[in-house]
Amino acid sequence: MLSSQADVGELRFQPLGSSALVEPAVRFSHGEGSPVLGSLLPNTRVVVASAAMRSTGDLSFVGALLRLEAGKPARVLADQLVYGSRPLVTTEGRVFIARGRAGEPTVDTMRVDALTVEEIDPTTAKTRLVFSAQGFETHVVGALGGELIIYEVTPSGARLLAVHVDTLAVRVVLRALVPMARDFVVDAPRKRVLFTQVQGDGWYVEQVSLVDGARRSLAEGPEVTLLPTVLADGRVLISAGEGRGLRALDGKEGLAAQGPGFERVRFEGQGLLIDLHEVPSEFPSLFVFRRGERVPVAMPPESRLDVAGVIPCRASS
Amino acid sequence: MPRLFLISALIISATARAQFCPSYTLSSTNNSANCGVEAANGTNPTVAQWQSIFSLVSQGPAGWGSSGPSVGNIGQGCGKPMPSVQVPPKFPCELLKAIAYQESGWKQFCVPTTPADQVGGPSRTIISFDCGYGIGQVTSGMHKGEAPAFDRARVANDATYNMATGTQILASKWRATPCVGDNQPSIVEHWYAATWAYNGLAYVNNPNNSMYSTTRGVYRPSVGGAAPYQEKVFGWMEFPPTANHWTSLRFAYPKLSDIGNSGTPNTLPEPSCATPASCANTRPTHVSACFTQPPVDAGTGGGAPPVGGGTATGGGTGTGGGGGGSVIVDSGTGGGGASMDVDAGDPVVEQPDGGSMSKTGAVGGCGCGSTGELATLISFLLLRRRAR
Repeated sequence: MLSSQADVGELRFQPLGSSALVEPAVRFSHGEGSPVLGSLLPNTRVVVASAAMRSTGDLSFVGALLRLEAGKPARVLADQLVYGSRPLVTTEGRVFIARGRAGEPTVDTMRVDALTVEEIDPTTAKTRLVFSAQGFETHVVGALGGELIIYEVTPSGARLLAVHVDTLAVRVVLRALVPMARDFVVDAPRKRVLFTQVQGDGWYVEQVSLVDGARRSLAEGPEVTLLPTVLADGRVLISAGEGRGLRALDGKEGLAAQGPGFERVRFEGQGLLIDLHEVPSEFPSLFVFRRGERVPVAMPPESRLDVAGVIPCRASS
Repeated sequence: MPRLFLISALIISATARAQFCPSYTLSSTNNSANCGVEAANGTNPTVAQWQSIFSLVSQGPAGWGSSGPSVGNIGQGCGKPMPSVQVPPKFPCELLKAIAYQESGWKQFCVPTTPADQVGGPSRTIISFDCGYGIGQVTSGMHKGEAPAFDRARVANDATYNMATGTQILASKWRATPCVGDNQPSIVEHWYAATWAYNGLAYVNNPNNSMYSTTRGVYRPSVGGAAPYQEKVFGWMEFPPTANHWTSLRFAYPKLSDIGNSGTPNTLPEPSCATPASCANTRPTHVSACFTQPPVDAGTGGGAPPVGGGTATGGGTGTGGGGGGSVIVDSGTGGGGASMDVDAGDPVVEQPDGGSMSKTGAVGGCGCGSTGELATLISFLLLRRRAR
């Protein structure tokens, strides 16, 4: 569990089923109010996390990639990370980050930046360029097999790309889409990506095949907060609105509302579901369910929260 | 060779905003961004003195006289319905206060905490690592070799002049960005695009950037999290640091789908969303309280004493802490500004979070407007001229 208050972040290996908050394994500093987003390296107790190192001025690329492990000071592995971006860790433990450098200032048009997606060795910090673009955004939204799925926005519009991490071959999944997509979910078993997209005055959840680019609209609503989620069994859940929980596409309840706000599934599998309950303008909270039953979990109060991953009990001692 | 650093090397003061005081002055050995002007010694104005400064600066060059740089006219009206006309610039004081708080925490002078060769010593100009000077964090023109159309030394040593220079930049952003609503400088929400551009027309400030959470709501400084610059400014506006700084103003946001995501910011219709990402609830737009007060006389300086580094002139009206009514003018949701419902009923849809928001009784604000003055304003708004 990652938490942050003001300009201090903390990593905890917080046991599920316990209402006692454990001491932080690592404490680190960052820019005031920074988002802290992390991912666990598989089969380890090491987390790579992004955090902004400043809170004023141009924040475009003020992120740093931190290596966090118990009993050691946080280490900065890379700088120039895209503000608010989460490092992507593949099932094989490879780490990918979005970085950039600001372009020339503009007067009346959006500034065009030099953007890269890079692989970084979480031990040596050695980086390797995987993809580059001149534009507005290169968001690494997930991975499928040996490919990264990248949402790219440039002055020419938006594309969905699949970039092979070894050969660096670029495959265009979607040549043109409205550059308003967000809340991406890559469903690797079914080789598809879901995201929220605008249509006129409304919003809808779109599904795109990562094999042939076939598109399908799954749900629609008046608000952007549709928050698509794919469960391990393939069911798609959509937010029914603030304070209304998540529902399956057939209308059946998927996850009850845990109070005013929205439910965002951060982990689901092996009978476990971790829900980040997000309330606009407020601190979030965590809810954990094991086979449908709520499990106590302690969390630091008045903190921004993130779940970097889950470690099986046998490996957590 | 891989670069590994201890995070402790990057620690920003744990006590954060209130204590943080960089001063990357010209002569600092850490001045890697080529900041071109030396810091000046000075005492930071009190909150009450800042109120006077904001009152003065919000009136534009016609109000501040020689206390600030010259600022050219700006457009008013966008044919919705008012045709555009060039007018002397004035600025919503609510916006200036919130921008200044986001930029510097209302600091022109403080005792430096960084860089290492500047720590301690007398209170002097706050200068960020990228050469942002003073309360307005004026960056443009402040590097070595630059020759801007303002007095660089006064930006460093005079809080009023610094803030006025910030508005010169803000006015240039107003001119460069497309209309919001009917493009009325008196409507706080119509400064949405200009405020975005004040921090740079960068994609990090586009609310449609997919890195931003769609559940984020109005930015609450005490909560933090990722948000575009302008949302942080408007968040400060709604959640002031104390009741003595300003009265909460619940900004109305444009629709995400109206803002778009092309290379050029869109012309925006009248904002009406209660949060940056949702229009499930709506809000009215707001006429700045500072547009309803009589002009101040910068030349005679009646009230607040000169502050800062010794060259400050003028001094404002001395009434900065004065109460009176902050007035919400509900410009409606369907009329495009053609009809305005002045202070009608309770136009606020949501319940205030902080409990300090009021349609009347500004706290430490920049004065107040009477309904008579509002009637004048409305007549003014109904004039028909053109473009920004």
